[in-house]
Amino acid sequence: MYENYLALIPFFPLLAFLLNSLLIKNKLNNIQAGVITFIGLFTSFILVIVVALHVNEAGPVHVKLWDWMTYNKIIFDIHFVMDQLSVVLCLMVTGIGSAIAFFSIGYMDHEEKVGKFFAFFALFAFSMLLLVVGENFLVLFMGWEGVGLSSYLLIGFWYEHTKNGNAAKKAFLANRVGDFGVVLGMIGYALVFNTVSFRDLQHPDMAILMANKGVLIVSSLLLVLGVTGKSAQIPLFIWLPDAMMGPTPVSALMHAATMVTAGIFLLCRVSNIIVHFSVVMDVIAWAGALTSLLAALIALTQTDIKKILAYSTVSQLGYMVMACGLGAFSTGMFHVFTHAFFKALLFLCAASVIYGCHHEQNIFKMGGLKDKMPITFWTFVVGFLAIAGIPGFSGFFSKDEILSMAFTNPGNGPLLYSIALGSALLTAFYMTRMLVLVFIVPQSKDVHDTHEHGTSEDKHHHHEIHESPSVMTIPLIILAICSFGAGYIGMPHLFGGHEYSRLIQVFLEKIVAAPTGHTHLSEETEIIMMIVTTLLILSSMGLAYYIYVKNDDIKMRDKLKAKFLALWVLSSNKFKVDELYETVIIKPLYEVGNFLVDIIETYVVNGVVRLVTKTISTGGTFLEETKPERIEMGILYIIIGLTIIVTAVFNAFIFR
Amino acid sequence: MDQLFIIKFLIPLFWAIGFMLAPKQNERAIKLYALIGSLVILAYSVKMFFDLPNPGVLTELFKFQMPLFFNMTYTFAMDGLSGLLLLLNSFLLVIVVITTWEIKTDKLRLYYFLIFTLVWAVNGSLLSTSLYGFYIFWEAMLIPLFILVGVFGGDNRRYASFKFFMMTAAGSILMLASMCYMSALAYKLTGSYDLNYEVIKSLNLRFSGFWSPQSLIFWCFSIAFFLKVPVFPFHSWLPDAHVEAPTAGSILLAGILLKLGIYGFLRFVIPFYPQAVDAYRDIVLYLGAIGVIYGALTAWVQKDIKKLVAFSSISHMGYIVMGVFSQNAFAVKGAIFQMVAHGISTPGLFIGVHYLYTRRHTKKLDQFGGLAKVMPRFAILFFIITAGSMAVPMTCGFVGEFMITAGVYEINKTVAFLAATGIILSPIYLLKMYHLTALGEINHEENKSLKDLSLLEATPMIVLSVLTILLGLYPKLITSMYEGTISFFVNKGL
Repeated sequence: MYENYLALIPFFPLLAFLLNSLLIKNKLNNIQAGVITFIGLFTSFILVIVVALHVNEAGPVHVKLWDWMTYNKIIFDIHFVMDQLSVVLCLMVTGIGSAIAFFSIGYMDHEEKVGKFFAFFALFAFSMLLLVVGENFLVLFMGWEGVGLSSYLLIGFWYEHTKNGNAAKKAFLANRVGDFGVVLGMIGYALVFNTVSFRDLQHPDMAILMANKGVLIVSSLLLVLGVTGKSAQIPLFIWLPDAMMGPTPVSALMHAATMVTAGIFLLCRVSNIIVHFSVVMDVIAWAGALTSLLAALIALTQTDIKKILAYSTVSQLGYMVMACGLGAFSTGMFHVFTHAFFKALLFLCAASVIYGCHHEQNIFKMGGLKDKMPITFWTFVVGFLAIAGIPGFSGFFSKDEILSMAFTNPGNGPLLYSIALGSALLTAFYMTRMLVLVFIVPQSKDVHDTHEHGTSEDKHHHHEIHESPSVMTIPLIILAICSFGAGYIGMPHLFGGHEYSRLIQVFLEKIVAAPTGHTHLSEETEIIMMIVTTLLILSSMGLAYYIYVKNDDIKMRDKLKAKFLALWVLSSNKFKVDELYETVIIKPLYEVGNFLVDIIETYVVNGVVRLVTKTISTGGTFLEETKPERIEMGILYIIIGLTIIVTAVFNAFIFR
Repeated sequence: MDQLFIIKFLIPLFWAIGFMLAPKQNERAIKLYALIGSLVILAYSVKMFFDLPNPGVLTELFKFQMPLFFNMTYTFAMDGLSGLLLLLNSFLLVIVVITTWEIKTDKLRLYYFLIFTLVWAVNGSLLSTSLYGFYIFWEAMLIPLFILVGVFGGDNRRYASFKFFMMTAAGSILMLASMCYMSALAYKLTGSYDLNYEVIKSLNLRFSGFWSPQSLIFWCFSIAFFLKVPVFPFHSWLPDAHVEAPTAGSILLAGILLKLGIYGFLRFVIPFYPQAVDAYRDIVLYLGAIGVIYGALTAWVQKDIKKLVAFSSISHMGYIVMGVFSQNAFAVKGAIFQMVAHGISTPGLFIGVHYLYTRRHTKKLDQFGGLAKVMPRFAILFFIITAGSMAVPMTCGFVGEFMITAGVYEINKTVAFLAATGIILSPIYLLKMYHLTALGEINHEENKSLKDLSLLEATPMIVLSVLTILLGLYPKLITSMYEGTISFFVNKGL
């Protein structure tokens, strides 16, 4: 029975996709289209809960649908599993997905092509579910590319603007670079272990593992490349900020809460293998740590509300990846879980603000929305406190555990810890900046600090700012409650005691590798660390508040800007990574293409052909000049010539 | 042995002759006649396939003794592989007839005559297992396509058709020379010049380095087939031919004729010259991998849609050649799958280009843009087919490329890595094509009033889109047809 339920979980969003895409021409109004997708997701959500309760008691549920292909002993089949790891992701995808689908009904109300939007939305949910319930690499990869494709479609949703199309293309290509790694990594694993099933990879044969160390390390690093693509880490993070061109609810669901966490999910899936290779683990940890710092630095100076949240997402993803690299896979997943709620919430609040401000996205042109949009404001505050890591809110628990994991890690621990702490403080800073500029300080007439934003033409955009309708605020409230409470399922030992501490981590560690080699911290140290971290975060918030509220005469900001000019320029230019790739990789490659067409194709490939033709025609002319009297003589010459050649060839080889 | 075989086999030819007899004025009747003919051919191909007792082995269908002609025999036989390509061939015929239903030409009868004879010649070379029979049909294929391009092609059709003809024929000469040599050997062995399957097998050519019979014959055949596939650097005729060919020519050329080169490798090279295949495997693998990258990079900088698709063919065919030569069962299986997948997605792209061309009479990429607004149906179908071509999982393109990459990985990791760059490169040019046609703003006034596809026009693209997804989700539909034959195309003991 549970097998059937499991098979149906991805089916309902697929059904919603088909309904929405096939009925697009018919009289399906905006609300109906939204409701179809919402129902599809919500039905899956209920099924997930039913199956999850069963999994909690009786262990993983499997269902095999059909064979896709077999290769010697390797079976590629369409096979679903609901285990402890899938449960967490499935709940997030369908639960948060339903909330955001509900929200979108309101948000997309006045748009065109809403049927298409909800069709793609459902397609995404289907692909994402495929990804998380896939029992083997094949199904995972189908979902993996499926989410990439639906993300591409949704980023380019307003395809009329070339800018959006380019952002979509960039996202797809960056993901494809990652997929290159995933395909080769998957093949490498498959050929070493003779299986692609995660059930088998969960308990790898140590003898095989050690015998194929080299191949496995390379394959794992290739998989990590895939992770950096999907989860927007260095070096492939560049696509995620651009992905904000899509409708904001999509950014909330895909580019913040679920899709981008697929990389961490993949790391967890293969955690029992990569945990044995310290090289791989170090690469992961450093990629994560540096990404979290870099993205936080960039977020400091951005002015677009969605861009700030995007970089903040990149930074938080860096946290999760770093946790995996430290061996704390379950903690990484815990942060995925809490982050999904508060980041979805923050994005939806941003959507609500953008909706209320008539598509204004520059935070310097907002301000004073606290009273005009009270529900949005208060839910935003919850999300803000959660992401900043204020004790009691969900982000605190997961972030704190990652920090202490870094602290206690024997190898690179201290350095990684300070980087992570640094980006936590930066997070608190830029989130405060955003909060006060959008909601608290009165709207300033001065639009001095803006640049690169052309969408601000409509002058009367602040005239009728109003709170969003309840179809949008209800999901906000639900998510706010979760953002507050989600952390309590993973409390540290200190708070939860034996019975209630690290619930989700222990639950997950039935599947993923448990952290090893960490030194144990005494409770006193733990408390001191928490207090110090919290105090630092509070002072960072205070600093931001002081700069942007108390001292809103701009002078202070200008002074700061002048002082850190180099950093400020780098940060506001996103460290020029896009330009770097453009000049170092894309342009040269295009030039190679041009070179191939202009030179190789013209002078070499076709040149040989021309040369041959030329030779023949010259020979022809020569023969013509010898003038055989009649045409028969010509034929005779040909026959004689051919005979000589053929005989020569034959003699050379037959009778040798 | 099927007594009626020869009649069934000749149907396309008879049907083609029918066009010549048809009255010229009644275009509609001619078109209807063509449609019925294509459906009949599809039906008998299906029937022939399902009549096969065991698709895993070559089943002799017809044997023809020619006592007056050096006592040669003429054998027709079929197995899962040739059956599959036969199906693809007749399926594409139906697609061609529907796609070009609105064609406007005063030489309609010639047009259909050429298409039907072309299909017939392809069938002939797929079913012949005596080398001479194969060769005759192989050459016979050139003629209708030559005329098709030369008469119905674009502005530069003369150059393109000659180039195509001469280059392919040049390869054939090499093949013919080595066939002469093999015949001489066979005469010593059996007293007959005949080169049927069993005889070639029993020749056991000596292999000792490059200047030995097996190696030379291998290269003669290989170059003939390389020119047909075409493998880098033998491809220079392909872009010209595709750009100038009418849509029917492009569809059949990309859909089935290129695969004949691969089929030739599988049928007449791999099983007979095992040592040579083994010795030169790496060279061909690298050629294939270079082809993947070369085709992709050159496709990227093209400004003409048709040329872009033509170069993408070189990239995709590079995969197939690698798969075949890796001599790994999985990769060979994938290569054959990829033949079908490419036979679905590339004709699909050409059909899309055809509809653009019939509307705007240009194939320049910068003349389009924003068509999704005015032609939503086109945009959706074209996207699905593009996705198939760039090997998105759950589409048919992924299956073959994945299997080939996996199989090659086991043989030669470097080549597998090079080949896998196709994963990154294929969306670069395909998305460029899609974005410049369907997305963005409408910059050209003429494009604002383009008509969306009619139901008739959409039909071939819908069929191809459905197949794209169906085969991606359930590839066994195709692989089960030829699974048993794989062992013949993989030399064991290597």
